[in-house]
Amino acid sequence: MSRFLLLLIMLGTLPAAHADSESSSQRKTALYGQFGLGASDLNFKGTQSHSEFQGLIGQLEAGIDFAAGSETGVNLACLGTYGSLVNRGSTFLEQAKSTSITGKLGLFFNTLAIGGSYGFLALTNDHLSQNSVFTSEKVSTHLMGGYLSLNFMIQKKFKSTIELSYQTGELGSVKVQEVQLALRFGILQGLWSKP
Amino acid sequence: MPLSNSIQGAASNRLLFVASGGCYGGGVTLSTASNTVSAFNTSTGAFDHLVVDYGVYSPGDSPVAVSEYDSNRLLILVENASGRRIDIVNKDGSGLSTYISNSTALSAVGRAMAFASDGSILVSKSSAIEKFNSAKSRILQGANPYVSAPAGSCATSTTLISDVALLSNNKILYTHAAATPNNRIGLISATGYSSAADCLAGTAAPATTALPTAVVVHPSGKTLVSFGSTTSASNFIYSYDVSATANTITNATQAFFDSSIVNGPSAMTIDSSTGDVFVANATSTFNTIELFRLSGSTLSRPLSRPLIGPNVYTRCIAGMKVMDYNP
Repeated sequence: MSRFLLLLIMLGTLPAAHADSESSSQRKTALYGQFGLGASDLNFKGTQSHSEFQGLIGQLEAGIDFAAGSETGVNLACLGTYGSLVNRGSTFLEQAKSTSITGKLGLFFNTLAIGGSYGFLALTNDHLSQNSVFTSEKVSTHLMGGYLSLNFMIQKKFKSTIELSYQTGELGSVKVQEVQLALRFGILQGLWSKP
Repeated sequence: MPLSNSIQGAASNRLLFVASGGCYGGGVTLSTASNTVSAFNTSTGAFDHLVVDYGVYSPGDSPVAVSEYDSNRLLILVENASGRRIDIVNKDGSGLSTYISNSTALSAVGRAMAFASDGSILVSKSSAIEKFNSAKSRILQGANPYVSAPAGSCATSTTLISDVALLSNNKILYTHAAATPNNRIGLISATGYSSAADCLAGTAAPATTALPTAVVVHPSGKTLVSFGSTTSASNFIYSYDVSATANTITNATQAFFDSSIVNGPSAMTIDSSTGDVFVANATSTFNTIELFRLSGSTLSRPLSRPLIGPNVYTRCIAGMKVMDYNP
């Protein structure tokens, strides 16, 4: 319930944030820190195998926006996530604790940002099955991908983000793919210059 | 599927399903079977799961052969003098029901089962081979079982058809274990046996004391036959060239001989994706499953020990099959 309330609060700030983005002040550089919540779909696909984990993850992001024009520039950020994902079958249940850290580099055009990412994903998977004993295994891999986001400044003090990201990597002969849709909110500290 | 199956790739989705039941190892001393069907990892030999324990589910029943029905289910030939049948079971053991129950057809000790490409099933009942079509109806040759009393070079009497295999054109290859000169390998027409002309080829065992216990057709084209015996020197595996078109069984070659490794072989199977050959030893002091690799006509043992050591689920193995498993 608390997670859904948090999502509603973030969605509620978006209209005000969008109005503020039309301010006439020109931004140069902004530091920000955000926290948020995302939905994750994590797949492990082999030639004849497929495991799919889904769940909610918490996000923390810190970054810098370097403005190159009135509302364009470069975004550099570091994103950490932690969450609990579930892979459910007819005879088994797996709950995985997912941890990742990702470096992001992209471009922003007004409220729209697009860029690439590279990071490290670690998974601790607890397996329970009616046919075998309880097992716990750890796997990890590097992922590379990209993101697309809408970012809104609120009174030059806060930043809201809706972000869709896709990352892929390999674990042996298995392809790893992750899609995340996240909402983040945080504080912004920028250098503003008058036009 | 579970993450461990995915990250280990396709190989780990293949399990060796093992039936511990009324086995035959060429007359060797046997252990008491556990009457179970279980599954083992084909790469590590680790026990994966128990499919069905007939000792608990239906005391008196003994699984003697297994075949793959589809990606989720397998067929088990159940031996019980008062109720022989074929069960259909989910590979994870979550469901079991009777698939074929025909006391007229299954009137003698069941030993082997083979699936044809048209969905029909051949069952060895020691003295004959019965056939059921895909609609589970019994298919006769006249008034007789599909293969009954094959004469000529196939055998002069038929008492113990230990195993059955099908060639690509559905011609029937079988092993017959009886005292010399009836310890033989025979090839029968795809339409069954109705006259001497349907015995297409036959060949005697390499030694008078060697009794053929199992036959498999390797993806390389070679046919492997295991022989068991109370005579230590007659426990071995031979490879043959069986031509499904010329109807010949030729080039008998000793593929493997070491009675400290292969002793009382009661079942063989092949992983068609890797070509690995699995051989079960039924001698009571063994109860092991060995892994071999075929190169030309020769089997080599890549491990310095059995793939699967003796345990309750490998006592007196009557049948084995490598199958896909996707829980």
